Amino acid sequence: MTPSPGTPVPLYPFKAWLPAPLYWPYRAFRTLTVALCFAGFWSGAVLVGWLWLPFLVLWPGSREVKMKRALRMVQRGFRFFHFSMRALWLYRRTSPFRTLRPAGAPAASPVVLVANHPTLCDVTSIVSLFPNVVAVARPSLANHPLLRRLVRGCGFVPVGTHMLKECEERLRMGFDVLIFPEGTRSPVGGELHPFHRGAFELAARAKVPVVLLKLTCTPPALSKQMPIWKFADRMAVLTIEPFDMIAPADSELGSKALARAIEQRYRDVLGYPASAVVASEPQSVGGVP
Amino acid sequence: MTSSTLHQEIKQLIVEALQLEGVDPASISDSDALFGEGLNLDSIDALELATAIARKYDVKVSQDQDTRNAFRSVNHLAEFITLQRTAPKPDGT
Repeated sequence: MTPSPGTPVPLYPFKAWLPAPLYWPYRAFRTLTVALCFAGFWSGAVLVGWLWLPFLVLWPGSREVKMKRALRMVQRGFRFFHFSMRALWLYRRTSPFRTLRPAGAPAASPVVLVANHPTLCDVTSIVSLFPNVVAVARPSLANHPLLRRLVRGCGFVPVGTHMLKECEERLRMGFDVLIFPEGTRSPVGGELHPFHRGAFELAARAKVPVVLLKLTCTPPALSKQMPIWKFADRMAVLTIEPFDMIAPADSELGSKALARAIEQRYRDVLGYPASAVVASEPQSVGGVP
Repeated sequence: MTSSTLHQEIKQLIVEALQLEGVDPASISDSDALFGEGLNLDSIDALELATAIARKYDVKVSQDQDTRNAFRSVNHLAEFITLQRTAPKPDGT
């Protein structure tokens, strides 16, 4: 396990002072609770999607009203999921901010939310804490036979050919659209995947601001490199901080250049070293000088 | 239409649809990779190109593996379009 640079956070501090006959049962119990939470999450999602969602969708209302209704239900589900994980001393999310708008921004108008992606539960954390946030969902979720009704019903947008158009529509409906420009979870230990420019292209087309969210998880948890039985001894805490907002007028850079600039911005904010890719990338796109 | 004019058309389309200013369509080679290396297009370019090709050639661009392969290079694209056009459409036209 590679701890993040600077202040390494030990994942298993209890091992040192808890006797083995106590420690290993504790580990087993912890793994069991994680498994239980996720089993509950997925079965809950399937049940709610097939038993409760149909009522919400059949109840009269415009498409937008139905989506917001379904999203509120999903939000309550996510809250319960996070409540359980917190009660079991596994994972907790917190934000020092009440809204996802850095100082002075109007709270009513929609924005594109951009974030790094340290844990599996970033989406559920953000959606459960803040109103009207929809995310971009990977096709394996959005097209899953058991889950697609729920995922699409609550306004989430599947990654694919119509993604930009659908995201623009969500913004017009008044949702914030959450996109992880890395496209997948961030690696553990002071690195970021290269940013895609989709989120920035979307904001430019829809003429809405981009809000940058910094997500930090200590100790690291639920990352892509960690199987769930490697859950830390202590509760993992995810902190959600919006740290900047880029107005559409400020982004005179093309979305490609903007994506690279923002990636660098994240490296600075997170205290990561500059990207080797960015540093060694004087070659421009398609031979354009 | 000979296949080389189709190649030319596709290159023209790539440059126009993606607004690659300063790129001469003739400078794109038939076998060069479009994504990752070569032209170094990205995910949004892929979306735009797919839409432009679907509109211009009236072909169905889905998200399966065949289509993904078709976007590897100009050669692959030309082959894909020719194949889609000659294949009988479901409605019999």
